[in-house]
Amino acid sequence: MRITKTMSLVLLVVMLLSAAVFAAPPTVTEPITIQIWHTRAAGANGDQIANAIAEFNATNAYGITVEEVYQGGYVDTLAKTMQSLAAGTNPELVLLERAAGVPVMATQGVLLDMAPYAERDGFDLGNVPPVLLKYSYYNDQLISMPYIRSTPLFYYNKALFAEAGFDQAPTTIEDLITVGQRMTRQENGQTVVYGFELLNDPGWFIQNMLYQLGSNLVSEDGMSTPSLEDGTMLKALTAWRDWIDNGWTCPPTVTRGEATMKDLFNQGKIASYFASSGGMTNILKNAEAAGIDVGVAFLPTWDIPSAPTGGGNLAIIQRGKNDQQMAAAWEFMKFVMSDEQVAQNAADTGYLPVTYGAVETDVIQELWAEHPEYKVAFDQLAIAQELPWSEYNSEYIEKLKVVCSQLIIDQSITPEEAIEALKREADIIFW
Amino acid sequence: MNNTSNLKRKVQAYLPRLPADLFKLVVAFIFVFPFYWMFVTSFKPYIETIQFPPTLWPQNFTLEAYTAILGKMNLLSYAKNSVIITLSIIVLQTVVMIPAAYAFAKYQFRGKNLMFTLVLIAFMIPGQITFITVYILMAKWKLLGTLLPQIIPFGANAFGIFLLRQSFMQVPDEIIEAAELDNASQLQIMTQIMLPMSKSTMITIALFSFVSHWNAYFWPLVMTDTEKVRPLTIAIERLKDVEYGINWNILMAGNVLLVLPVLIVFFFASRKIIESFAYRGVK
Repeated sequence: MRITKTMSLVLLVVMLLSAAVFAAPPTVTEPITIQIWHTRAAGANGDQIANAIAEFNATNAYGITVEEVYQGGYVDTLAKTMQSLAAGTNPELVLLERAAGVPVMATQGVLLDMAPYAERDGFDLGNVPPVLLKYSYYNDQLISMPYIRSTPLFYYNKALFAEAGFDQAPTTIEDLITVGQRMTRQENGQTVVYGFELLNDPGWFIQNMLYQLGSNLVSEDGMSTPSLEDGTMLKALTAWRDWIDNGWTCPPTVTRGEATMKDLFNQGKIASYFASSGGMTNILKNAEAAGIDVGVAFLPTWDIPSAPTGGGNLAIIQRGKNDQQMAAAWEFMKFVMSDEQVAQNAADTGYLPVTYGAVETDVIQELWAEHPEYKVAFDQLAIAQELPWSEYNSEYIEKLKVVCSQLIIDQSITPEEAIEALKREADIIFW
Repeated sequence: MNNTSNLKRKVQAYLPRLPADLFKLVVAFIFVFPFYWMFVTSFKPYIETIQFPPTLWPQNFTLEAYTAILGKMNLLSYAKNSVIITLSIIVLQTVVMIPAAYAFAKYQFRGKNLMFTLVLIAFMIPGQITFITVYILMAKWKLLGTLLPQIIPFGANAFGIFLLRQSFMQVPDEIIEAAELDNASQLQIMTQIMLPMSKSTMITIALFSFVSHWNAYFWPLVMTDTEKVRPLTIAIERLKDVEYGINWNILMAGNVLLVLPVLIVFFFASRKIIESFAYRGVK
């Protein structure tokens, strides 16, 4: 009698435990409201997320209502999310910069592992180009999905290029130098047209140049900075400074660099620049208003052709959330990752279509037929590389940016001094 | 003959004031020009906003920036929040401020100096230091979905209490004693004697409060987690799409709508502000 009682108790515990371990992920059973915090401000970008949410709220079968809250840029959104986690008021879904935001949240263990949900619903991760999934996994957990992803491209003023006798974009850095120099025009000692501008966004452009030179910003294990030792950083920074000193590359402004650069481009004062594909819809629209014919091409390359990717991933926060809230968040995640939504998101803004299925849709095929510029971005994914995962990335890139502004904008240090300064910073950051 | 010498005398009398007036003109220009620039930019089409050299007056006058924001964003509900928040703060501050200033100015009680020091210290601590604890407190009280986190923390206006105390101190004690002899209650003394004598100070405080809370950006941004309770400033900031370039005309149209109420209020109240800062002796 005693034994059977104990045994049945043990059995019960075992059953309960196994039920907990092997339980299917929850589903939504009653109407619920969840929040998404995001960075998609206004214009094409803000309209896109508003429309997607309206469609989801109207059509989902579970009575889920998603409420969107704009929280500023990536940095602000990350800070507000941390603050809300401390207060227990965090949202279910958050948009995080893939390399600067996802690791911060992932290492704190607040993100939901979506793998069981994906498995249950047959969500096919093979539908997503692998290079875009680098920041989706942490400790074998599926913690984020590529959402508003982009890759930088080479934008150029076709008319200015034609005047100088070029009918296509440069494919190598050598070509870029030739073209840029030929394009630059001076009047009365003033430069009226610059051939090129490179923004002070070293996490993207310098990192990619290092990759093209056979090195990288950080090592694969994320623990060291090979480019400071092997001379590639010196080569890239020296080149950039030379381009400025030789007068054919326009130095970026300290604040509002990207907006100012695009204004100058639309005024015909800069012939070409690197910028995200994510803003392509705005670039094409504003350039058209300014009467400028924009060409779009792959980034020119040093040795190994490559391009970085960037942008934001969508993640579900599990901290303080119940089964229903997480299940509802997953439904929305699935919705925005559906081929139709991915296609619409890309077509509305210029962000990459992040699934192979989306590329096959009529929306994307028609867009590409009408504006081949958008296709260039997706095609460039074939040579895309991703920054190695390191929790020190954002801090190191921040320092690199400061050093670059001293080198390029203030011109108060030499490339050699820049390397010395970076080594000192790296010694403190990587340990 | 007489006329010319008259004119000459006038000019001579004016000459010493000329540099000062010129200086005032320059200062006025420096302050007014950004407003002017904001105003004209909001009526330009995008392409004209980036033209160089810039145009001082819209060549192609257009309302497209205004239709773009008014059509798409629900600005009215943000504006409603701004109005409710700002007015509530002013009312709450007035209710708290008058008795506090009166007590500090005219009463003797233990710990008065310490308490007044506390008020001054509160005046010196910026919101950036307190916001996380206040946010967590508001979250615990389950108030984050309401407008209250943007109102309650500003109930006591330290700067206002300080300013109003100075003003109350200028009212001679004899007047209060006379009122007391006539059996006036303290409330009556406050509202019927002290307040009318400090009207311009009150208006100045209310105005400063209005401007700073109407324009507040940081506090509403960190204290709100839903669009429903956000004020106009946050909605306008959203028009600035930093990552991918700025549509200056739309951004400026938003700013015109934002500052218009402030400009109107200032237009009607500017005289009172000057009055309250100029010294007034006992009449």
